[in-house]
Amino acid sequence: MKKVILSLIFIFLFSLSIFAANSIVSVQVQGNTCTKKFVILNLMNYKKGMKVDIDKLAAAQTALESSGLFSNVYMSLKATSNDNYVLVVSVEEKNHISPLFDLEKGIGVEESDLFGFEIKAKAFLRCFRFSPFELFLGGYSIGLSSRRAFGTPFSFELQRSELKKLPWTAPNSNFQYNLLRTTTGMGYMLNENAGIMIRYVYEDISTPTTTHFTVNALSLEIRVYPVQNENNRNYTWWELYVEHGMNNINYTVGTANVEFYHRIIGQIYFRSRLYGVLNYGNVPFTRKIYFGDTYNLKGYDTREFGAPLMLLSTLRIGMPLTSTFGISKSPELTTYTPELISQLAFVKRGNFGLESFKPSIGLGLKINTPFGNFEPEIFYGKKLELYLEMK
Amino acid sequence: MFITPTGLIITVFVFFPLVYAFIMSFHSWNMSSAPMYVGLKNYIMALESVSFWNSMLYTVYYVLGVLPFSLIFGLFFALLLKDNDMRGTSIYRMIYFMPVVTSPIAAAMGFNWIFENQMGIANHLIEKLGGQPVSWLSTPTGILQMLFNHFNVVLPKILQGPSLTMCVIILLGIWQNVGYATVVYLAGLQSISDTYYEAASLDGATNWKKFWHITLPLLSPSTFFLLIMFTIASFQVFGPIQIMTPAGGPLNTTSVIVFYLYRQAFSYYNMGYAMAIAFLLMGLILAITVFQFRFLERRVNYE
Amino acid sequence: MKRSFLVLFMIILLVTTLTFANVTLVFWHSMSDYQKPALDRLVSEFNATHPNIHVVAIYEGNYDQTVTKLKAAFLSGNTPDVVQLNIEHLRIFTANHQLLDLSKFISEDPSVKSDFINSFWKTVVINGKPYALPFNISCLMLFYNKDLFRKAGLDPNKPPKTWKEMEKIAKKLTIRAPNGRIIQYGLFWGVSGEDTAFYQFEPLIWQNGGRIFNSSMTKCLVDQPPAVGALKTWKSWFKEGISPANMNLQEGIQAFMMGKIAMGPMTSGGIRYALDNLPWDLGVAMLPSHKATVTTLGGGSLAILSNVSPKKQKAAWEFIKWMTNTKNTLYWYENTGYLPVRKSALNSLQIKIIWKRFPQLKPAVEAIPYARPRPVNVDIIEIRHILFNAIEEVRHGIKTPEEAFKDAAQKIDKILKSEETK
Repeated sequence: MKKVILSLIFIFLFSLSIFAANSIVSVQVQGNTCTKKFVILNLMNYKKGMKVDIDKLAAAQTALESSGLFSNVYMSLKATSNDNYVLVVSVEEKNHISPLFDLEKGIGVEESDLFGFEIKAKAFLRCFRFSPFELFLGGYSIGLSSRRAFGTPFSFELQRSELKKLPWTAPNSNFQYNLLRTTTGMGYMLNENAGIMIRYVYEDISTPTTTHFTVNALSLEIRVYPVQNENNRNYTWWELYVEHGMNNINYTVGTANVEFYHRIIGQIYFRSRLYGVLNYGNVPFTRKIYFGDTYNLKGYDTREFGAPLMLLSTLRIGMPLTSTFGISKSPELTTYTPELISQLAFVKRGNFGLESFKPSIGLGLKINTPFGNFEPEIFYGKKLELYLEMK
Repeated sequence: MFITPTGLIITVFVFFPLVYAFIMSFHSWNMSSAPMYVGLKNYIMALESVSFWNSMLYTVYYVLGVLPFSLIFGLFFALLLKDNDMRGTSIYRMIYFMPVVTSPIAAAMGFNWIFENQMGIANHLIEKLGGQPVSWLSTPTGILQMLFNHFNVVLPKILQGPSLTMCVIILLGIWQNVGYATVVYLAGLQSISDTYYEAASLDGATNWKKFWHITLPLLSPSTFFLLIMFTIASFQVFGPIQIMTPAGGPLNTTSVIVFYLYRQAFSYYNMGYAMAIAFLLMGLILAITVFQFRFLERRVNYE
Repeated sequence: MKRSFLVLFMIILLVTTLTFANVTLVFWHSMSDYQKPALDRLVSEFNATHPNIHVVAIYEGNYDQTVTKLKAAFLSGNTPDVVQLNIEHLRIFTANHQLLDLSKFISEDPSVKSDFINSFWKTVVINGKPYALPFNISCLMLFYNKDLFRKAGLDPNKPPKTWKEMEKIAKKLTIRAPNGRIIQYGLFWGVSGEDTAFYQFEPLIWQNGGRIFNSSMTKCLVDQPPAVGALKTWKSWFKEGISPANMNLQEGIQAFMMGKIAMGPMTSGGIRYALDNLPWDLGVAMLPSHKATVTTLGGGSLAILSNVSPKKQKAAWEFIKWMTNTKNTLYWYENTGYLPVRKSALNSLQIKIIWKRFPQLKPAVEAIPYARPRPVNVDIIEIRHILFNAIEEVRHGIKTPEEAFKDAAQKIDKILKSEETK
């Protein structure tokens, strides 16, 4: 008997919860101290009078969570007098001002939600150089950008930098140069996980050898990246970038990058990346694409390779561990991640031969600290080299 | 006068709890309600309990398994590492001492990993060699019984021997003790004067005879020391068992006396009963140590 | 870099709250591994939104260990203010009036009581008085490997509904290598032997129409035919070779994760962990039924200790009420798999969004009407170990099911009798 009553109550509760196809007449947003309501509505893709559709509301919640502005989103419905609903969205905002640190640009600050408009603003001031120690005003860099401006599918990018005495190290020459750069870009998000962007770059460069020259270039970028969802085991993302120089200097450069991530079992993962570079024509040195940063062939001299055609493949296998060196059961618990890395590069320079292939192997350890990620890595390629990255 | 602070500390931290525990062993107490005096009931209950005697048996298995092998392997490695002229002696000594300084918890987790049924290295190797994987940590049958299974003979319980799971834990015990024994034996070996060996060589003694008549007797103080240390420690084994078989092993076959005591005290809250077991264990260890001093120390040769 | 600023911010926040907070509450909990981050998140959010109260959450080991530590804490006088206790362990402390009777707060705030799911609420009421709020309640579910179902040509969306079906499916899912060795088992009904011992076996007895104790908890009924029948059936799964005979629970779970076992009972509190970590497609279903449809209700609750000051009591009540409110119980549900404890949560929009994202979480909520709390008394831990040993003796072929449960019932009756005389 008890069970019957229990089931009846339960069925009753459930029947209550099956919403009649009534519409949402308005949205009430709670917990937003900075982000403007219309931005939230745009991100949610809310249309006035939309029906209570769980699919759409789930997508709306995912969109809010993946906007990077909120740490927690909670939705509930409030019934109004005439069988319609008010959607209540409670958000918890993330901290939107954070300091930045960049070896080349200097120190700065980032505001990820300017005036609540979901616009990112970055400003750098470069007033020192590390080696040799000297203090001087080395310029500034400011920029505005948005992945989805005001919640719409349009994105934009504006950047202006004026930097002095930037160090340039290439295999054959070492010198310092001054740079004036303006970038403007407009883009469109095709959907949640794919976007396209067109940029115009103007550069004015003066070096000790050549007095000074300018670059005018137009570029196109396509990115396809996955929606982060812990339920997924595989992620593939790729991007393509093509840039063409106009007016005085004619050149074309481009990169293509495909990454694949697969969680094998537990949190143990496998990550592979294929990165291709094309430098065609008389490419000015500031626009030439080398291996470097995260796309580096480690274990070799940085910027040794500036060949017209290069390919770099990287394989990583990592095993996340907890702080007590147990096998980690969730990303939150991961403290150490030992990684086994192997790289193989193909560099087309002169005649084709076995020396065009450059292999290297490495061991890495990602250390997750409250102050960010430390990633010491040791690589053996042409020689043994140590790397330390901080993220 | 000067021993007052030390004496006070010992009184407060050793003597007082000991007396308190002794008093508690005559009470029934669950840590929450007030203790109730029950006389000798806890002791009688323990001596009548089958689980208590089983635990005793498993403890004896452990002690008998760990003691001889620790001593034999310790001596063996000490003899190998005695040679100071060999290259890298100190490194080898360090390696053999490593298990001693390894945290028992970490070691137990490591062993767990080796003998795990599905992902363990041991089973992996066995399978690679074409054998059947073995359930190291969940086989309750005694190893002697396993042997006699081939002849379809069922042994009485006391002769069945430690279960396979217990053997893994014994192996861990040996692995942890050998380094310590090696170091103690090394010290013993180095204190033996070369003159004895030279004299023996002049008399034409073989290496074996030198070992049997000089080395072994002169090492007997070390052996005696190790014997007492290992006996006391082995009777009190708990950590590895708690880590490797938190439920007491298959059919409780790794539930040694301290594990049994721990369960009674901190899982079932039979504090009085647990204290009674503790004092029974203390009495047993005391008796064995006294026995060792009385009858074995006579055979020890002090130089 | 963003993070470092956040940490600095948190430290400043912590220092300021510590100096300005009126009340500091010490909260002991048993949430390790994958549940701990979600719990810590909730606690830090509570601290951020309640400037006058600061809660310090401390992990004290599993449920059993928490009981031991709390008992010791009462002796030394270093007790926490709020503690997460397994609903089965509440009695250990209410017997000596060590937990705060929440009736006073409930009468001030009647909507709280009426919003808790009735069967959950009952688990925290002892002798008519509520001593805790249900927090992390779970029930036993059947986990199965959808990929293996597909490989065997079975419909992955049709998990077994009865024991018979389960045996039939398990046989199909048991695969032998050419040399006769079994490389994949259909079923492993593993039973835990330490913390929450005997948990997985209880529903088998209930499903077979049996009970473990009589209603006044004075007699153990496992020697009756329904319980013995359940044990016989359980044993037959090992005998027929559809279940691995020589694996303990840990090894069984390991094998299940590696895809060497197709089905097994597991707590709903682990669904999210399984979804995040398993390399194959997980299915979750109600336990198959036999004579009755029933599953076990287990889990923890939040209790306040009776020896804290009235000011702290109020803050502690605020905390445990907040932790179990509709929004937070849903956050907890989504991030762990523990069931939402509020009726308003079952009825909410958010739960539907959660089901859209993690469909495997839905069957656990649907099992609520069939979930039965475990029988409890003061010596329950020892009694469960006796029962666990009994079924182990059967599994290893030392005793017949009849003998094993008869001996166990005798031992348990002795304990129950000694309780009466206490």
